Amino acid sequence: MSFLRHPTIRKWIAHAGEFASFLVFSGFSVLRGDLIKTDWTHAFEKNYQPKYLLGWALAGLSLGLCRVLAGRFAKAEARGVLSAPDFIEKYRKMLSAAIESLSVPAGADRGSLEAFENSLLEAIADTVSYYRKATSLVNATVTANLMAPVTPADEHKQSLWLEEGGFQYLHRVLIITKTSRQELDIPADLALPVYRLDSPMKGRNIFGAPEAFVTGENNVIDFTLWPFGYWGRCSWSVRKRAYSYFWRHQKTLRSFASLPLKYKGNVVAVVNIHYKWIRILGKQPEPLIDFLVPFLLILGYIYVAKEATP
Amino acid sequence: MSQSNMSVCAGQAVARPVGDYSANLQAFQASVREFEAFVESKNLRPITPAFRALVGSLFSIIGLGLGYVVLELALRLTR
Repeated sequence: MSFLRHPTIRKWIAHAGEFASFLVFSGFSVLRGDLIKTDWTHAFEKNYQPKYLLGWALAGLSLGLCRVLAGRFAKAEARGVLSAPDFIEKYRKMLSAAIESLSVPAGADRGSLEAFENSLLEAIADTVSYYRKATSLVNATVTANLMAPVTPADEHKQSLWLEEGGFQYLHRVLIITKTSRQELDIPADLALPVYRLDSPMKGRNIFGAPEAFVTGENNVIDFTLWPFGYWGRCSWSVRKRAYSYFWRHQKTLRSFASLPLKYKGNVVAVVNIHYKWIRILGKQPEPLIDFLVPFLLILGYIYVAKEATP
Repeated sequence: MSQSNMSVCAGQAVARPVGDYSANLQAFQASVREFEAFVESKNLRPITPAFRALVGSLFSIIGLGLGYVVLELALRLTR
C-alpha cells in the first residue's frame, strides 16, 4: 500500500471522498429530509438517538474535510512535481539558453526573433503540459497562442464577442498571431475586442485575453462550460454567443489561461494557453505560474524587439 | 566558486562575440526540443493497477449512489 503515500493518489482519494460526501449529504437532505427534521425536533429528549441527523451532519463534515484535504494534497503534489530533479535540470537548461539568447537581440533579424518567439511559446506549452501530465488523470493537449493587439478594422465588425454598438469604442482587437502547434480547432480569425478605458464600454471587456490585456493580471478559466463567475458586465447577447462558442468547442477547449506579456510595466500582448481538459493550471496554479513567469518576461521583451525590427 | 573562477566566468560573458545570436537561438531551440522529448517520454502519472482498481471501485460506488438518488427522486415525483 506504499502507493497511498503519493500525493497525487491521496488527492484523488480526497476528491472521491468529497464527491461521495456531497452525494450522501445532498441526497440524504432531499430524500430523507423528514427524518432529519424529526431527529432535530427530538434531538435533546432523553434516551433518543438522532442517528439520521448525526449521519447527515457527519456527511457534511466529511465533505468539508475532504475538500480541505484535496487542496492540501494538491499543493503537496504541485511541490513534488515542480521540484523533481530531472524536470529542474531540463527547465534550467532551457531557461539559461533562453537568457543567453537575449544577449544580442538588437543584432538579430525579424526571422530570428520570430523563431525565438515560437520556441518560447513551445517552452511555455511544454512546461504546462509536463505539469498537467503529472497531475491530471487525462493526458490532453496543451497549446500556447500569442495574441497581439491590432488596430480595429472593418473585418472585426463581425466579431462574435463584440457588444452591440461597441465597434466605435474599440481600443484594440486581440488576434492570434502565433501558436505553439497547429490546432485546426482554434479558428484563425478569432478576434477579441478590447474597449477604450474612457468609453462607456470600459467594463464590458470579456474574460480571458481582453481582461488580462486591460488589467495586467492573469486570467484563468478552469472550465469553459461553467464561466458564470467570470462574465463581469458583458451583455446577455455576448454571453449567449460566447457560451454557444464554448459549447461547440467543448471537445477541444475545456479550460484556458490568459497571461499578460509585459514590457517596462506595460502590457504589450497576451499569451493564451488552451487545454483540452478542465483546470489548465491545476487546482493550485500559483507554483506553476512562477515557472512560467521567466518565459513570459522574455517573450514580452522579444515581442517588443520584434515589433521594432523592420 | 573561487574568486579567480568568478572573474574568468565574468570575462567570458563580456567577451562573447556579438554575432553568435543564431548559435544561441539554436541552443535554446535544442533545449526546448529536449524538454519536449522528456515530457513526451516520461511516465509522470503514478497510476498503478491497484490505484486504477481503487479509483474505479470508489467511483462505481458513488455512481450507484447517484443512480439510487436519481431513481428515488424520479419515483417520488411521479407518484
